[in-house]
Amino acid sequence: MKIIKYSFLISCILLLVNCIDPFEIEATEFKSALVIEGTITDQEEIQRIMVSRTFPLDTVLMTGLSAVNVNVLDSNGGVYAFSETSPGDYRSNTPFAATAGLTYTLKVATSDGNSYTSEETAVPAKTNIDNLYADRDFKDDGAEEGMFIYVDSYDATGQSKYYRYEYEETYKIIAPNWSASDAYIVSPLPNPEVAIRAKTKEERVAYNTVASNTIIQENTTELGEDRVNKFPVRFINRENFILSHRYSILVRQFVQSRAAFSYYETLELLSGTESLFSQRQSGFLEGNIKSDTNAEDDVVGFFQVSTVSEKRLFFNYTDFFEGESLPKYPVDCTLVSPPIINEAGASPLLVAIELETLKYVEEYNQETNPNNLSEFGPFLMVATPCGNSTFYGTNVVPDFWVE
Amino acid sequence: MRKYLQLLMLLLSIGVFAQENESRFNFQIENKNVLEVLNEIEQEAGVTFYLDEKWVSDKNYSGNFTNETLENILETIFKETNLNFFRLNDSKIIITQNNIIYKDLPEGFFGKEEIDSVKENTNYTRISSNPVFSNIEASNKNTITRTVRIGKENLTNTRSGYTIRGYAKTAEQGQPISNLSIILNGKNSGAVTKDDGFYELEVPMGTSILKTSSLGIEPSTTRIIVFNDGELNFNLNESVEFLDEVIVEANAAKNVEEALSGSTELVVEETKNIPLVLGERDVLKVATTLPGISTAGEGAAGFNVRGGSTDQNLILLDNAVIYNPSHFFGIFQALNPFTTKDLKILKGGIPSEYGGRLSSVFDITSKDADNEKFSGEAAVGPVTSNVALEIPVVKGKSGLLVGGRGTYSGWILRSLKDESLNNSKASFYDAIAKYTHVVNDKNTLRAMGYYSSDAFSITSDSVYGYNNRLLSFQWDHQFNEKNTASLIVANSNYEFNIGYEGNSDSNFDLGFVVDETEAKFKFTYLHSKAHKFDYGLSAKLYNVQPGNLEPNGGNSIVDTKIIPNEKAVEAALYVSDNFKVSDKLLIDVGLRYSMFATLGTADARVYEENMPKNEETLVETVSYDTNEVVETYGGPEIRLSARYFLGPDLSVKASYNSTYQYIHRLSNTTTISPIDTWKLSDNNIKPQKGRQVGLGLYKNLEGNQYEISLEGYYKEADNLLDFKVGSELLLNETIETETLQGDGQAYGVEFLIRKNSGKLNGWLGYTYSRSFLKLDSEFAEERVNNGAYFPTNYDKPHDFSAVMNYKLTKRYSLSANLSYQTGRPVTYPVARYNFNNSEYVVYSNRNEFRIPDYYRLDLGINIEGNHKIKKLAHSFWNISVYNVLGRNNPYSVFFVTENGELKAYQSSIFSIPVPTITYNFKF
Repeated sequence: MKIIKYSFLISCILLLVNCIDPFEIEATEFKSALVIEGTITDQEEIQRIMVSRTFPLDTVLMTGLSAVNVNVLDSNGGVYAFSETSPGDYRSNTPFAATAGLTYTLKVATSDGNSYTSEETAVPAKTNIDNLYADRDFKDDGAEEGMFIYVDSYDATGQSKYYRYEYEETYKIIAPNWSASDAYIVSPLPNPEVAIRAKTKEERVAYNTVASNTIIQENTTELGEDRVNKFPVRFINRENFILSHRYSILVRQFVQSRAAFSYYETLELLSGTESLFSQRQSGFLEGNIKSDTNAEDDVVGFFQVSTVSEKRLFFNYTDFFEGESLPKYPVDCTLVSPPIINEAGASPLLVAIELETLKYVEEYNQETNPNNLSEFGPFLMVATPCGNSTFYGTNVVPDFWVE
Repeated sequence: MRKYLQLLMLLLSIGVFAQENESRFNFQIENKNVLEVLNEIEQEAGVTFYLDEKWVSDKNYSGNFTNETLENILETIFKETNLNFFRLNDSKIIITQNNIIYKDLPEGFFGKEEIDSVKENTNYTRISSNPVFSNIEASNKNTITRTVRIGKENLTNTRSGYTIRGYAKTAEQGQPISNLSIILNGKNSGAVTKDDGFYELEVPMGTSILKTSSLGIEPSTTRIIVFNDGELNFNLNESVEFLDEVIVEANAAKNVEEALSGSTELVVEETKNIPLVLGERDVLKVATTLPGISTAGEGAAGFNVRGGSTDQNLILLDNAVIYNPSHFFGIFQALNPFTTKDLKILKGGIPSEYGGRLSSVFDITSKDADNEKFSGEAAVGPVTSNVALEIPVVKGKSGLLVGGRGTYSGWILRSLKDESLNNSKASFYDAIAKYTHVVNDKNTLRAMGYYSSDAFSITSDSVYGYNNRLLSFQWDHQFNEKNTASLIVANSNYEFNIGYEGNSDSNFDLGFVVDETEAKFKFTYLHSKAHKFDYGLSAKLYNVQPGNLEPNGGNSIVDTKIIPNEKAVEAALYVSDNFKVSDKLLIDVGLRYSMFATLGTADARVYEENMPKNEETLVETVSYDTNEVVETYGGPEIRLSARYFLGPDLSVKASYNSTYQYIHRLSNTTTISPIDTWKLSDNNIKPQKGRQVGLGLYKNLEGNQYEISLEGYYKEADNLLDFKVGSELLLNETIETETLQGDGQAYGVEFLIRKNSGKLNGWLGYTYSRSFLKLDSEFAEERVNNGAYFPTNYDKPHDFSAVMNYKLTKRYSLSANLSYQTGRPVTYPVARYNFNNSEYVVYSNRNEFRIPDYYRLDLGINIEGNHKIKKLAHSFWNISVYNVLGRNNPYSVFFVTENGELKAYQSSIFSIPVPTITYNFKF
């Protein structure tokens, strides 16, 4: 429905308009504001608060804000001090957990003498993820097929209601054209010579971990009970190579206040591409942090206290796609055989080895040219990502990884 | 009153016919009531008498006539009465009491005004009970020029001037003549007689010529030869002058005289010279050139009146509410200019008769068809063609007005280069029929039906449509001289539909309907010269279908979703007293009590008090049966207006108004769209309330040729409806969780100078106004801009308009529009930031920025067909260029992220000059 409405409005504009012209947003319209992102959880851990400033529309430079005094206060008079670990990233000096029944307030003082205080925030109810499971299914009435990661959760007390999810997915990458050996340059031009030697580091299997960056929320207020049932936290198209071997996802379920819920919801709406044409009423999104020193000084962001529950899930491609072909590797893994010296007197093979654009696969029989290549050299080579999985991740097995 | 009006109307419309071939009649009358006698004559002679039956109801007559002319018969019958008669034409005879109808007015009656600058404006014609001529009899005597000598020439006298004095009296009765001008010829001086006819005048020594003139008195010329002070009396004959055609413009000084402030009238015929886009004569567009009335942007639908939102205008077409008076998203009005008589806009003092909207009343009246002769009017323009016919049904009694208008706008879309519009089409039409039946002099019936429809499809798979349907019926009845009443029944229906038919299985139909039926009794009681009471009551039933989504076709897997219908009644009682406290002070004291009840069937959602409305705070849902009262609202609305004359053409007016509004437009876009829905107040959405004070100064100059007004106002409103950022309004069952209600504030100063006649006419208007909204709450999510007042989407502080027409000759005229407005407020992204591992933009506070200022110049030339009286049709050409300067006025600005880069665009509607030729003809 949404789409229809928007396309309607878009068309309205097009229909009437003789002219849509781009124009430059004037640089003077930059609004510098403090950005605070912080979620204190009920887990005994080093808590984290991010402080930065907004940056102009025409730049991409984001820098954290240093030398900020960050403290979280509880309603019992407890003060938890934070220290900067990297620019803009503040960690609590000691691990602590938000305790039910108390309220928490964030206090931030910047080096320019301004200070900011969040609203008092209570600790919401705690609800655990009951089930985290994956299933193969169709999305959008068959338009796409893939894996859904579902969450089940139930709060018998009916207190939780507003859920937000974050996940961290880790997947195993196996280089399809891995070889135990690497080519290396024995002698450069003008007398080029190459040879192979055993690899010194793991390049066949790697693991990559990616954090979610979208806003995933669910509420149970329209339901008869506070039950999250088969909520799709994540959908992965079956063509996505991250499913290829073994996949793991850690899902964190935050129970949050309604205010936080609606903050994230509106943030999502405002940033959605579909709102851009519609002349929808947009506006400054007010969070729960205010300047103590200057009421006009708007603060972007939200400080919240959440209870958190997490669960991890593993599955293999074969668990759901037994006997089916793997998703395509993200790059083309066609084998090539660059000549060691070509007609122009250059050495494509040496360049490829030196710049690590290609990886050694096997020896090539230059006598018979079995692959009927138009030009060839001593080795069959492949694009680096196909022979070295660490191009996409790390070869260090994550602590949590279970085969 | 009505009687005189009719008499005069008749008089105006038809000239005097020669009385040839006098027929002769025989009558034997034995002590019959004169009325019966007249009826008999009517039948015998085939004539119609126009008279007030009261004049003759107590008079009897006896007598015989043989082979007498009608003239003689009537003269004899009326001899002993104070009645006179006037034969208008072969079949119409007007009877008057005391007065004689004159065929001509004295020369110079209208001063030096040219006859074509007098405008017909009969709607507001009020003829006082003192007719123009009083008790004068016909006389054919010629004026005698006499010579009078005063004093004897005395060479020793050195005085150069002498005083003469005397009395002016009627020759026959010797009654003093007051206000007689005595002009000393060629000397620019003179005297005017006092109430007793006395005058005194300085005259030079020697010979002078004195000319006298006065209405109803024969002019005289007297030669005086003065050598001393002396006495000169005038005995003058009363004169008979015959009227040719008089068009009375009784409201010429209305601007200054009436008690209401902030009221404006536009007579459609008068707006025809104003250049408008694509040749559409559009009285609503013209209205936006007047101070205090604006739109959100060029071609945007809806009006913002004195800082009010677009849903706060009560737009009435012949008493029926018209929800969307525009075609093509707002580019064209949905009113047929040929059938529309006038538009009255009340933006300041709103009479207690009207209610239900906060900001203004747009009272649009259609013409009453000519019931004497068939006539028509047609126009051919580049976008629409238009025709209107006036058809007499029962001659002299009733007439039918029909009008139709349609577009051939297909070419507009085809001419746009955009490929995405290849499959698009747009069409609209409107039709109106109005039947007016003058049953007798005490009863008039009017029935009106109107339908307008828009359909457009932009892509091949969807069709959008909206339409208005109005029906209204009005019965005017006069009980007696002091009491009149009207019964009005009106039904109004507005709906829109979206039909989607693509290739997939998601075809659907979506519809919205608002339907209202009102019955209203209006009474007027002319208590005395000082008091005029208006009172009445009205009741309105609303039925709203907020949204129906239905699958279209057997394959569709769309789930039917029906938002429950809403039903409510709105009733009101009102009374007002137009009280003339003194010659200078006129006050209009009005009170309206309006009541509103939301009715079942309904499931009313109850939320925790003092909490934001959302799923979390929903306490319970209460079910109500059919017609069970869910919630009631209501209260008194005060309507006060006063006028005080500071001088003869200078008045000051003040007003105070309070108003309630129970129905709201739901729109979360910055300009309105045809798929905005309307919502009735219910247990969660409170009615909007408004209060306005106004103060104005009004001055007319040079015999009402110039009207100048300066008005100021201050308004406050409660419970104005706005929406949370990013809310979804269509097919939303819990709309109250998306709405915010806040306070509004608006103020402004409006200046208007208007010249109504002469070679150069038109108006200049300038408005400085501000309009603010405050959405505050203790909860951040229900707060906008920190709960501070911020400018509304239609806050445009400076607004200047000039509409001018210059008559080169009687046939050619030039016209020009110039308008300038501050750009409307918008919300821009002002920065980027990282949050939740993503990049977002920060929007400024709501409406912190403005799009560039708007200005536009239009020029037009109008060519009237020749002015021969006898011809088949009267034609009128209009050639105009809209936006001559080609100014690319931004309509909106929007922001798109393309490849991670934020880009800003502005759109404009008519960014190039648009030339147009239209041809109109009347027959």
